Amino acid sequence: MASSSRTDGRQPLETRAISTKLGALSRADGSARFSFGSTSSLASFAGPIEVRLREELPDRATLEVTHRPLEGVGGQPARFIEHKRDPTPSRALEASLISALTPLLALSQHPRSLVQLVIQSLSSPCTSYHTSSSMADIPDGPVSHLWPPNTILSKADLASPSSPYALSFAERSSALNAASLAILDAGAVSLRAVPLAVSLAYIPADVFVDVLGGIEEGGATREVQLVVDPSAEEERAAKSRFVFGWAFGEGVSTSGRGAEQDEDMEGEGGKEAELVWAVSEGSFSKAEFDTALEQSRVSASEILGAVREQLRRHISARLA
Amino acid sequence: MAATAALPSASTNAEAGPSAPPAPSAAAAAAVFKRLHPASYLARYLAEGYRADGRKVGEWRDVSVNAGSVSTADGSALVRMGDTTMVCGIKAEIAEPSSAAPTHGYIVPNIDLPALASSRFKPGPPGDEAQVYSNCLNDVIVSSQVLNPASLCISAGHAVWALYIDVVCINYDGNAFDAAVLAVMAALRNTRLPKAVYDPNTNKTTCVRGETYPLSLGRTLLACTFGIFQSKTLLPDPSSFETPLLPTTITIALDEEGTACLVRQEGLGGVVGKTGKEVLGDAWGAAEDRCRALREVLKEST
Repeated sequence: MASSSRTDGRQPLETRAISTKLGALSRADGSARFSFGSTSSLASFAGPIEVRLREELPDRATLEVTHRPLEGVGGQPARFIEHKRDPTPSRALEASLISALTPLLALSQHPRSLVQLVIQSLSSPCTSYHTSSSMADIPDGPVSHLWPPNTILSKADLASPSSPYALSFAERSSALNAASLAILDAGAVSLRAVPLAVSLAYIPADVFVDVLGGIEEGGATREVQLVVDPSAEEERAAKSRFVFGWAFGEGVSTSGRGAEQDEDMEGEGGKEAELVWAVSEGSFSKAEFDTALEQSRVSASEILGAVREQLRRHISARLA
Repeated sequence: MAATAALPSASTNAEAGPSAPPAPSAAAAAAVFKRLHPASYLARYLAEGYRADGRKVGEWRDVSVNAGSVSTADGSALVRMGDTTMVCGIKAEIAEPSSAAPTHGYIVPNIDLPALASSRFKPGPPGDEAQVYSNCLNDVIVSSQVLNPASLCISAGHAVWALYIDVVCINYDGNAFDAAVLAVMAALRNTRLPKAVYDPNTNKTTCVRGETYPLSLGRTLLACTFGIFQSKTLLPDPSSFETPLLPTTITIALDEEGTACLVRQEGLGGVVGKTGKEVLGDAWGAAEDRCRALREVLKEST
């Protein structure tokens, strides 16, 4: 019986091969490189170090996060029109990471100091947000030279477009994961819980089958297909995109029911987790959102398992 | 150091002796308490079921929308959410399309939080907060297909409209993003562009004065922002006093059919007794009600 599979042969709920490399930067207190297949980020951690006087906080360390994309200057990727002001996706990602990491890092144990994270993206952003070739978009026949056009535009695409400047969702999740591992590699500031992120997308079912070459189980009538860790092509074709960041650790959940919930979870069974970051865009219902949220927790647990295994090997190699 | 303070007691000052300063009035003492220990101040209010500005815990501020007030812009709107005031102006220019997308116009949104709006913002280049809001607004407008860029095409490959959407904060009292989104939606509905004709012989586009047409808009989305205070309470529509005390913010944007366009959570979720997912569920329900009310306001204004 054929089951749904994607162009690269993955199952819909399977992430790409996860690889981590810790301690590659010898001059940083901690560093890590995290990859979902070809989408990867490199993070360096320095701290606690000297803080600038105007940023000094008397009761805790100051957390500073900087993100640099692969192309473009200091967070401003290449543009095709001279805008007065550019949107800066790196600034937004930095703000999200600060919000996610502040409740988890033991900053109050290092007052009047600086904890600095620098994340370098190592993969190209989606450079083209059109699926068809450009000049072919000009329709044949009489071309209109006036506005508003007389012709009624065709219904909007099923896929939700994404801004050409935006960082891909897989890239954003790899950034948080690399930062998390860099903090663990340094070991200088303790983490209450380990944050890990994963990206997901809903792809319209017919696009999944026709365009992406996915194979669907016969008779399945779903409008959208949920995929975990979408590739760049899948993100472009998606109707909605998500990134969820989960923090795994004892006592991180305030619901008081954390331990009970995980009793039936495999793998990292018994690990309490709480949502620490969520970004979603496109067009989706509450039910779709809840399903994606549940699946992201499962996938994040799997990533935690893989990460712990690689950490264990790394540390025992260092001790050997 | 834990920051639990008691209100400076008026009676101890009075007993201090003839050379002691006069007892502070209750209002002055409360203002000092608010300034020195804002978290405790807010916690005291929440324990009674109210917020620092007199609202009930789950209450939103009043909204008013005034469209078309800026006559020099092609479309404009002024939105007041409580004391937060945002002005959105839309200007259209004619530009050459990029070769990657010859039939697509440009939509360039931007949010500005100038120093005049609040002492929080320093003069100079846009601060981090403004950049983050601008980025979020741009992403949500593009991904939600609020306006199809292909509808801005005058002549494929030669001339397209470029819409500059500028939102300026006149007065900041928290929750600039919700007000900005509402202002943009109202301004887009208010926008009228002149008829434009491209002449392939002269490579020039001429506009016909007097004939204006509205934009062909897609989904209309409205945003609702919440904050979580000390992992205990979900507070909708945070004011500027509350915002620094809320380490977690949740933003939910819904369109006219109740389908979501954007759901964001930044910070550790969950409150005492509820997981993060349940809190998001509560927020979603509250957002649905709020969006319905906002849509009424939007309809009346345009």
